[in-house]
Amino acid sequence: MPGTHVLAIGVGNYPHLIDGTGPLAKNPLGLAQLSSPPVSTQAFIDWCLAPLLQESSLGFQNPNCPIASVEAVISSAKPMSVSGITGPIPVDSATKVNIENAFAQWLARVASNDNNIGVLYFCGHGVMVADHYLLSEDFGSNSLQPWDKAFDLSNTLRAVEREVRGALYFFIDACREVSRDMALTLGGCPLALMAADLKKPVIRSASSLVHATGEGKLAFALEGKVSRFSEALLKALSGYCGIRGAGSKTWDVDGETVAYAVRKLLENGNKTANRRQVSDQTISGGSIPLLRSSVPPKVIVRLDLLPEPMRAVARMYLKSAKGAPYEDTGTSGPYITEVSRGFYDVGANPTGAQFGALVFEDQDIFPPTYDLIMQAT
Amino acid sequence: MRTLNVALNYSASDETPATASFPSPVALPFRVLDAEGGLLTEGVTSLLTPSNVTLPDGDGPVFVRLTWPSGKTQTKRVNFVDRASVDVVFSDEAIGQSGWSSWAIPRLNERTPLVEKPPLSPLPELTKFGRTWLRLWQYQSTGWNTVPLTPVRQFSDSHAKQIDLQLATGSWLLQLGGVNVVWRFVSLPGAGMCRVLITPRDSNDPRADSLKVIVTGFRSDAETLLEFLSRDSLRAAKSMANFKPLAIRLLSEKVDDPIAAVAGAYFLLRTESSVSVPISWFKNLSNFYPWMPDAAIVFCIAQLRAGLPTDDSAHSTRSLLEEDCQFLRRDCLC
Repeated sequence: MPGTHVLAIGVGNYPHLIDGTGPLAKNPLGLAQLSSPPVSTQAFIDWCLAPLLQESSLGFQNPNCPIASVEAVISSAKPMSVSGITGPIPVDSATKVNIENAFAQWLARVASNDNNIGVLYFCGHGVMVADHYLLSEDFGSNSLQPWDKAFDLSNTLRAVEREVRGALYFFIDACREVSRDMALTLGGCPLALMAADLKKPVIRSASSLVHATGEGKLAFALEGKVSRFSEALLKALSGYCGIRGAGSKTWDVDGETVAYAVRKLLENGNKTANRRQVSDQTISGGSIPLLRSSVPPKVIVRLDLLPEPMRAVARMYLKSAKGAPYEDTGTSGPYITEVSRGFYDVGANPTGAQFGALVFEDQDIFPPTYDLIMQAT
Repeated sequence: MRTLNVALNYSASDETPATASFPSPVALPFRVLDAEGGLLTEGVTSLLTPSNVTLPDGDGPVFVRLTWPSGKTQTKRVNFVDRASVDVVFSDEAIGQSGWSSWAIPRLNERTPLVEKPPLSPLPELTKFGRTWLRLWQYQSTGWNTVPLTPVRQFSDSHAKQIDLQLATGSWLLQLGGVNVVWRFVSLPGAGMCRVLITPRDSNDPRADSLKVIVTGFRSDAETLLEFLSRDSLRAAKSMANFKPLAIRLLSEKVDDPIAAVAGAYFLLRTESSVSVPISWFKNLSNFYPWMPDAAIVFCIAQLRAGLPTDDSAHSTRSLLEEDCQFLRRDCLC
C-alpha cells in the first residue's frame, strides 16, 4: 500500500554564524541564530504524527496514502525530541552529513512505490542567486569552503523528480534574499543533495513547491514562535482548505489548494504584521491530494459594517444555502466566526430603522478566509 | 438527469478590432457546485459556443461559478424546481461601463480602479508616477533596435493609458520607465494588432511592479490559458484546455499562429501532458520561429523533461544551447 514519507529539516542553531557557540565563519553573511525553526519543525512533525498517536487528533489525514515514515533532523540550542508511539524520540542535529543521510533514506522510501507521496519540509536560513540554497547547521565551519555546508535546493528538486514516480510536496520556510557575497564568489556554489541526471526523464506525477516568500524576499517569525509561513501552512492543512471533486466523497487538499490557502492566510496576517510576507508557489502535473477528509473545510469569516457606529445597532449574519443561520450577538466590533465551506447569503439587519437592511446573496464562502465590509446607508 | 446551458454575453468588453490577425472569442471556465461547494461538473463557455452540461438528479439549488483570469469569480444560483433544463447567462454589464478599458478588467485584480464603484480608499492615479515614458524595440537581423512608437489608436484617463499597435511578424518589446517607475521590458506579440493597457498596480503583493501592463494580441483562448498558468491556477487552466484538446490544437496550428502555439506548449509542459504529443512538434516550433525565444525555451524544457538522448548529437545539450537557443545566445552579454 502506498504511503506518505516526510523529511523535516529544521535549523536554528548555527554555531558559526553571528552569536553562535563556535568560531565565527569568515563571512557570516550577516546571518545569526534562529529561534523559530526548531519550534516550527517540531510543530510540523507533531501535526504529521498526531493522528497516529491519538486517533481523533487534528493532523495528517489521507486514508489512501497514510503517513508511512517521518525522517527528521533539527538543530537547536538544546537537544530536540519528538513524540513517537513509543515515547520521546531524540532527533539528530541538522548538520550537512545528517541532512544528506536523512535525505537518502527519505528518497529511497518515496521511490519504493509509484503511488507514494513525498513531503520535504525545511525551516532555516536560505539565500539565493539563480538557485535557492539552504544552510545546514555547520555552515561556515570550513573557512576555505563555507558553502560546502549548504545545499542547492533547486537542483535537488530537479534530481528528485527524475527518481520518484509519485507526487512530491516541498514546503520551504526560508528567506530567498539574493546574496551579493555569493554571487561574487567563484566556485562557491553549494552542491545539490543529489546530482540531477538530465538524460533521465522527469517521472514524478505531480510536484508542488511552496516557498515561504518570493524571490529576493525575506521570511519572518517571532522570537521562539512558529514562523509565519509554517503557522499558515499548518492552519491551512488543519481543515482550512480542500475541494470536493465531481463524484468524490472526500474533500481533498492538493498543491494548488494548499498554496492558495497559505497565501491567503499570510495575506490576512499582513494586515497586522510590521513586515509583509507573500508566499510563492510552483505547481506542476496532476492533482494528487496530500490530504483527504470526509469533513468540509472551515472558513474564517470576518464581517464588518461601516460607518462604525452602525455596528452597535446591527445584526450581521450568514445563512447557508442549506438553511443554517449564523448571527452575531450585537457586539460593536466586526463579526468574526467560522463556518463550513459553501454558499451563503450574507448581510446585516438593523435592530430598528437605523439603516436599510443589507444582503449579499449567494456568496461563495471559500476557505481559508472570507472578508466582507458592508456599507450602511 | 438535469441539463444546464451556460452562455457568455461579454459583448461590452469584447472590442476585438477587425484587423486582428488571429481573433478568437472570449472563453472562460466555469464550475457547477452544490450548496456545500462540492464540484458537480465543470466546463468552458465562450461568446460563440455556450456550454451544455448535465448534472445528476438532486435537491436544492446549484451554483454556477465563472472564473476570470484574475481569479475573480461571478456566481449565479440555479433552481431546477420542476424543470429539467435551465439557461444561465453571464454578462459583462458591470464592467462594460468602463468603456475602452473594460476588456482588461477580467485580467485585473478586483481592486482595480478601472471598475467604477464607491471606493473605500482613494484610487491610485497614473499622475502619481510622474512622467512615464515608453519605447518600442524590434528584433532585426542586426539585433534589437528602437523603432518609432506609432499607435493606431490610443485612449487615456486618470487611471489608465491604452494604445493599439500594428506590429509586423517578429519579436517586439515595449520598454517603460520613469522617475518613479522601475524600468522594464514587456514582450509584445507580433504579427498583427496588439493592445497595451497601463494602469497602477492592483495588488498588495510587495513584489508587484508599480504599474501593471496588460497586453492582448486578441487571441483570447490562448491568452486566457496563459493567464491561468501564470497564476498557478492549473485547475482553471485544465478546464480551459478541456484536459488537453485546446492546447494540442494550439500547438498543432503553429504555422498559423506561433504565439498561440507557445501558449499550448506551456500548458502541455505544466500539466505533464507533453508526452501526448511528439517531441518533434516542440522542435519544429523552435526551428520554424527562431525569432521567438519562447519557442526555443519550450523545446528545451520538453527535451529536458523527456530526458536528453545520448546517441543523437543533434539533440545534445550543446545543440540545445547553441542552436535552438541561438536567439537568446546572440543577445546575452557573456
